[in-house]
Amino acid sequence: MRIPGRTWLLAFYPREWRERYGQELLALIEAEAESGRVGLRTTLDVGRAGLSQRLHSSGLLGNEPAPEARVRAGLLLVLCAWCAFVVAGIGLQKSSEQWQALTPLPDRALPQAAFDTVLLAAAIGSAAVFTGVLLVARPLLALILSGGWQQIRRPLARAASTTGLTVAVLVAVAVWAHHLSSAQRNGGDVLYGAAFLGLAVCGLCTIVAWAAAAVTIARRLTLPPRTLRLETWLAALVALAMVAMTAATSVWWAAVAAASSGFFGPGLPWQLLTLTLTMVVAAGLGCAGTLRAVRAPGHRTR
Amino acid sequence: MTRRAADVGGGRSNDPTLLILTSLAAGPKHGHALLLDIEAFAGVRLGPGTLYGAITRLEQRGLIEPLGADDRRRPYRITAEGSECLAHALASLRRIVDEATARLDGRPARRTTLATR
Repeated sequence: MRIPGRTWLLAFYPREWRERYGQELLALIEAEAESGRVGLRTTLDVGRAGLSQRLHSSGLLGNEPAPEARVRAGLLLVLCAWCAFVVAGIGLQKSSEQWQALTPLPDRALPQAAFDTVLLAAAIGSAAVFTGVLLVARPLLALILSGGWQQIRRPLARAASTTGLTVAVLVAVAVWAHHLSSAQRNGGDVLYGAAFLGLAVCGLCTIVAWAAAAVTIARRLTLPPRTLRLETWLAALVALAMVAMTAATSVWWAAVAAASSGFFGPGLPWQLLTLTLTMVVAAGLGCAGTLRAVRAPGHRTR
Repeated sequence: MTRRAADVGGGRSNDPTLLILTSLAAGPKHGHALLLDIEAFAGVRLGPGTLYGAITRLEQRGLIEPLGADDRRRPYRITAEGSECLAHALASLRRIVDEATARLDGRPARRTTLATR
């Protein structure tokens, strides 16, 4: 008896796994269903196992993947975490505008120091990511020259077209903003607000598209052990920068809240809470990725 | 704990890989038969995802192997290496059981622990 409604459970698993074990698992789930045993618990069990299998297949979990695959997976996790961190950082930067004006001068020293720390760590992290990209420039060129362009063309085209769209929306919103008053730009004009939200979504899609392109490309590059070691060092630096920024943001937030109760407005500042939580999660993933790369046997950073 | 015992779920008695190897030691079985057998002898009902996660790992390590597919169901059997691994894991568990039994009976422990040094 086939139960088409259960087929979606296979979506939790990576494609190669589905091709090998998918029908067997479905047959088992259907046999369980006949005895009335399939419920939420089974769904959760299959979902957990599928995600675990995905992490194994991507090299992020288990000892089965080769050391180089583990290093690569760890580095890519750090890169993705950095992208998520950048999104949260941009949102935080937007939310923190004019905090100096609203904070009394005598109470400004601590939040200013924390804010400067965030900027410094952001610069260090960005420089590390940029250096990491430069390090793979030669292997990337080698990949393209050896006919690998066809493999990476699609994600690159997607990222480039998303970037083009974001730039176009940015220019349009900027031109529009020049014809609006400050009150209209800050919530007075609903249409402008919607356009700004659209710009934010485009920006998010652009970052996600470039991260996806970077992951696709990085999986196809042939990287010498020395480059992998250097990339691991850089990943550790990026993870440290994220931890420092998260800690400094928390200090900044607490100091501003203590000095200027009106800055966050009435009630809980959900936007800032969400952004800070995103930063915490991203920093955690960055550290996990670094540890995965560092702990891979034979690819120590020493 | 030996490396071979660690290969099979670290020698934990409720580890899915150990339960599957134990079940297959009595003969080849497909997924559903494995679930029923494990429930019968161990009182543990594994979820389908947990079972196939363990089957994947065991097959990758060469401890079990698939037989010809029967419709969509595929039976598995234990390999020689799998039998050896299971024996090591059971020996490891047996040492713990013997030690615990000896201590419960008030007999002197056979090994020196950190606390008694």
